Amino acid sequence: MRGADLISDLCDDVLVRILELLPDAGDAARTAALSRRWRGLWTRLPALRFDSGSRPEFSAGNGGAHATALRYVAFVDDALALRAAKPEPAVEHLAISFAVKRPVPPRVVVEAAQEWIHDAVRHAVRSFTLELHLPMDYIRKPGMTKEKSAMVLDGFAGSAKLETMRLALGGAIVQLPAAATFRSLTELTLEAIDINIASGDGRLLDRLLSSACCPQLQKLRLKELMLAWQDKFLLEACSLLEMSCEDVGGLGPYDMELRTPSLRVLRMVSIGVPGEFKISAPRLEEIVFLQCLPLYIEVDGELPCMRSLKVELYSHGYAEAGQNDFSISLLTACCTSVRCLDVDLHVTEREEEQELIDIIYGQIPHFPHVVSLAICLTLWELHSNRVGVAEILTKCSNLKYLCISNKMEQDVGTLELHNFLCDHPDYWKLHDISLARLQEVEFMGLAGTDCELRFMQAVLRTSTQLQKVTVSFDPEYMMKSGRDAIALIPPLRGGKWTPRSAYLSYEWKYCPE
Amino acid sequence: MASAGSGDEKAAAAAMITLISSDNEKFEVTEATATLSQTIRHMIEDGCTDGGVPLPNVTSKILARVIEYCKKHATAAAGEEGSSSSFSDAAFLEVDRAFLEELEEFDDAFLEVDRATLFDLILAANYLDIKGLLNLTCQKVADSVKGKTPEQIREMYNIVNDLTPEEEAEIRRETQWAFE
Repeated sequence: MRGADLISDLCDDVLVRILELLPDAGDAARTAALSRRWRGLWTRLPALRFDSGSRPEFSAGNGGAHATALRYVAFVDDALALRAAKPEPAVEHLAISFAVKRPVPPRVVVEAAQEWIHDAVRHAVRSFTLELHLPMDYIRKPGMTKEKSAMVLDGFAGSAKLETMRLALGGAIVQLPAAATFRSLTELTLEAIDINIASGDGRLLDRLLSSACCPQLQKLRLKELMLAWQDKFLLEACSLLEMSCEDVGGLGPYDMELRTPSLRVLRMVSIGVPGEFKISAPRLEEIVFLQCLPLYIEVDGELPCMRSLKVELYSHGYAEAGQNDFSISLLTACCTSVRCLDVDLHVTEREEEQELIDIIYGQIPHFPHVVSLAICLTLWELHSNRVGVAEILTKCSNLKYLCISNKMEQDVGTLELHNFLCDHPDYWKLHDISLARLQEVEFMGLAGTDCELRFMQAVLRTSTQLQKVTVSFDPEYMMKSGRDAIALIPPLRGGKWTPRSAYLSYEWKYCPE
Repeated sequence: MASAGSGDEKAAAAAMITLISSDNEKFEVTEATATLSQTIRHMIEDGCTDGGVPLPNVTSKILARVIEYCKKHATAAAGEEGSSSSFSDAAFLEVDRAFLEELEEFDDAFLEVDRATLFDLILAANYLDIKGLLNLTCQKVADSVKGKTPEQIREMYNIVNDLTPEEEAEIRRETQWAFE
């Protein structure tokens, strides 16, 4: 005897919701053949997702890859055509992901992708995601004829419906639209794109991101972009609130300028070879700036709204090299407002290199409002005199929360027992560090050397209001040193130490008698 | 004379809601738990929860499970709101991660039910408009349908094929790309 057909008892809305949760539109479309009840359900889906990765034939070997790719393209095209033929309800969200293997010719991908972008505009979707994965050798090489393999995103007027768009194009060469506008676009992500600027009419990226083209743009994410043949990237975006730039580079040095009067959050990581970097963004509240070394920096005015800043600093460097210049100018521009400071500090003191000089001392401004400070120390040698850390601590006299974590770059395998002992003097000046308001302290990734323990004790003794201290040791280094972690923890009055659930990690809490 | 403190306590006591299942069993829950249901939230806003909220579409067995889900997720929601006061991102992330893992384990265990109960939970989540629970239970059904042929799905859910052979052929022609 058959059981009851419970699933068909659910109302249409719930069944549509179940179909929406399927990873691929093919799964949803197949349910049309179940029964009369199910026949038209999938055409009511407001969101269509096509994921070549969820199809078994794509995970097979390269045999028949070309035919598989063509079938997939036809599959997406047919499904979109079918939905276009029944305009109500409209497709509001469209996501297509296409992973291509050799030896599929690049033009198959290029033509399909161009067509899908046009489809998204034609269907007047509200959100659109296109994600391509291409084999490495499809990506630009010297001598490659760009005209043949470039994706030309032009020939349409743009969209007044599109709100969110993500184009991750697998490193393909792309010619951006020269005239299209996106009146309602609020979120844009451009990822893995080789921006092809046709000779003579540069600045297509500037145009696309400008307020004239995307007047509502609030969130912008640029990742793995190649700005070839461009000597300047100018972003003029009045409504932009959040911007993230990661792995963006040019063929040679280029200037970058941000004119973003509303910008609140800026995240810049690994921006290759910029020349001048100018920024005018007086409402910034949060900045992350890592692995970027512009030649010249100009911050327009102060940044009075800054709450949180993350930068990197080098403890030592060659005179005139200017490694810290940009970070210092950011620190200076926001020192009167910032409350949360996060510093990646590269400790590069090498005694054998005489030319290396301390490039932190005397450079850091005072931070009267910083209450939370996190320092991640990258240590190239086991021992450090910690001058850089001490210098930052002396400038943050109102700290309540402090976290210092160690990242050891020295191969633990090369260390001997005696390496953990140290006889070098402590150059940090304890009397300058005054952290009377410190309440919570965290020391992470300790290797168990004498100098780091002395520094930890000094920091803990400067405070009278401690509530909580957490100390955790690096298991690999502790194994090598053979030291007993619990014996290395400094005694602290007014509370007690207890082991935490993590290995070699201890916590002290204030507990009045 | 009531002090401010006892007034607060009164407010806290008043923030309990009584839910009444179809088989007339009463469940007393906090407002925070109950308002994970948009349906109940609206009833509270309209001030029509005195004397209990009758839920004629939900049996006591299912309501007990729904409440179990809401209690767990209401604590989760409260935890998220309260977590903005401490400092180190790393410490937060650790706490959040542990909590999210716990929540995930709870959800996984929660879904270990027979098919009839699963569908009853879907119906209840839809009726009470509890978004998280509806997504969770619908995802379980979606996962079971993923990659299956219509024959396999019919077999699994006892769906009677009432299409004529001609109709079915037409549908398959129309969505041929989905069957390749």
